[in-house]
Amino acid sequence: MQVLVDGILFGALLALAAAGLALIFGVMRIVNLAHGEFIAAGAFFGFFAIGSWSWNLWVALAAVLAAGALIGYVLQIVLLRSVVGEGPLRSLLLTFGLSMVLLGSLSFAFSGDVRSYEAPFAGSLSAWGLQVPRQSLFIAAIAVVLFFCLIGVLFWTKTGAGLRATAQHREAAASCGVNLARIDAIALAISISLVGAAGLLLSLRYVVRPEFGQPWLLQSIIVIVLGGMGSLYGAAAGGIAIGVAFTTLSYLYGSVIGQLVLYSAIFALLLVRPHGFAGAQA
Amino acid sequence: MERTHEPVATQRYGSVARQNRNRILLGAGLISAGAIAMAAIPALGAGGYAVTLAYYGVFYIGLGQSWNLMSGLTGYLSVAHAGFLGIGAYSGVLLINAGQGLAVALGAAVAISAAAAFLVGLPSLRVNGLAFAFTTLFFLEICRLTVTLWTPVTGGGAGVYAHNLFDIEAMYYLMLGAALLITVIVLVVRHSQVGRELLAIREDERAAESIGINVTKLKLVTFTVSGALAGFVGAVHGAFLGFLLPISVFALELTLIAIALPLIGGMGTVTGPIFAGLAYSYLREQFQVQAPSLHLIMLGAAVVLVVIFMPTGVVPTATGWYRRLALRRATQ
Repeated sequence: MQVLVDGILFGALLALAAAGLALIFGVMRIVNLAHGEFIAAGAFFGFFAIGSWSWNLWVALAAVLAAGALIGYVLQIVLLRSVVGEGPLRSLLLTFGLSMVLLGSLSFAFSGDVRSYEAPFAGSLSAWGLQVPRQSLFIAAIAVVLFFCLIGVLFWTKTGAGLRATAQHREAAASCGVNLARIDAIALAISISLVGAAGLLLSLRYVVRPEFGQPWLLQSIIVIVLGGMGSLYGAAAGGIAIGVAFTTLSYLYGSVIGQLVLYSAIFALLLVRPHGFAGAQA
Repeated sequence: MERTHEPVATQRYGSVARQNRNRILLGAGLISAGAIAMAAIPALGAGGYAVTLAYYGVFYIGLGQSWNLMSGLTGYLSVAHAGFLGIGAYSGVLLINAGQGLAVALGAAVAISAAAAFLVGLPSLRVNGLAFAFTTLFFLEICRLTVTLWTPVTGGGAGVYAHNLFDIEAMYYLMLGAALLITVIVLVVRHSQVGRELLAIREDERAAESIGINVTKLKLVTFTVSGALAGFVGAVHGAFLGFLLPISVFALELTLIAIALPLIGGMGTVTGPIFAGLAYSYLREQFQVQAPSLHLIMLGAAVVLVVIFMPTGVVPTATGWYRRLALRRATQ
């Protein structure tokens, strides 16, 4: 039961990170291999803003959302625009080059040191015999709120309609007057700001290192594969499912075996369903 | 100018078969000249530092070329090559520790990595694009985790030492030979019927299949050979390092290098990875002195720039410029 709760709380954060990846895959058919490095960048921001400069948590969160949006928008206009609408090869290579630049920059600027800080919300709540760290609960709550903000934007704004239309069919959306270049840039802006926020939330609980984004890239890929590539609800369900599965496996057999089982399962799943488990689109 | 119905290339260079033969001969000549120059480095009295630097140059070339053979020609983006490299390295070192000679260890390491590549390729080559890249990525992670867990045999996360250490110079010659062998294989394959079939898969797999190419078999054989060659490079590298950690050989970074070098030089070209491998090992060393992570930024930035501005790679773009220049001069 305790494991289940931990898994759900962990899964909520994973779902948020994966939603960023799923959104741009849905809209542009691009998998951002620099995903993990953006998470790490968000976490570093959290470390410095909250830990060193003692900013208010909410200010830091707002700042990371805004900075992420700006970075994503510019990145799309400057770099990613030239590889949208092609096969997967060039976009994979481009984002992969980007991830190397970011990883190198993070290591260059902050060295490989392990960092952590005294986060707010210490202690834990206990109810019905369960111990729930207040931090985890808080992180998961923020993740859920952000996720529903994203859903709200997608379903109740005109831009959101454009995003959904583009995800359904690019050419048809363009012929209905959707400005694809703008929608793509907004998609990446939202994605990077969510991912940055996920990184910031992560830094509240875990130690921060330049390389710590890489397992998150793998786990996010697992989540979107499981959730049907590009589907947001799939990402949410997949995030919770993987969170619970991983926490349970780690609890029973240790985290290395947990990862091994998960990776092997997803390896097999990809062979049977190359477009993801829940999704059916080409 | 007089109008002809023959393609210009045929007029100038003769039949396709002869053109291929000429290219292979020319390439082989250039490569052996380069190899002789590289082989002379220790003989010229260069110290251990220069030999190590040159070793890394040929190591990157070997690794890049082994990836190039499969992914450069077919366009199937393999992330698994560090996995084959690691399998080769671990098999080699463990066999040496079991009392086998270097030759036996290398041979067995190649066989084991070939088997691994065959077993991975058999199911995962059925999917393409992203799914293939992902399955190979997870394969790499599965390798790393398995080696970490299998402590009684592999030493687990604490790593394993080779009981015999080998001379740096000897290892350098061995790696040079490996890189040379792999480059020649890429050269011959590239300018043969098989190479054109592989390129046809890269352009349009369904069309290739419809003109009678046995796509499934061809991909699997190429992937197996490519993995075996990466394993060979890994086995030599394991003997060179003398100490292996799961994270040092099953490293995403090595796959990144294996992908980035042919990509920068020119995917599917023979000279591209050589050029990029030498330039990278030199520049990496230069930057390493100043700051240890700058080489990643440099390599990444080069990848980004090449993908955007030179989709075919530096070497093909440069030869394209040169040809256009020569053509303009000839027509004036």
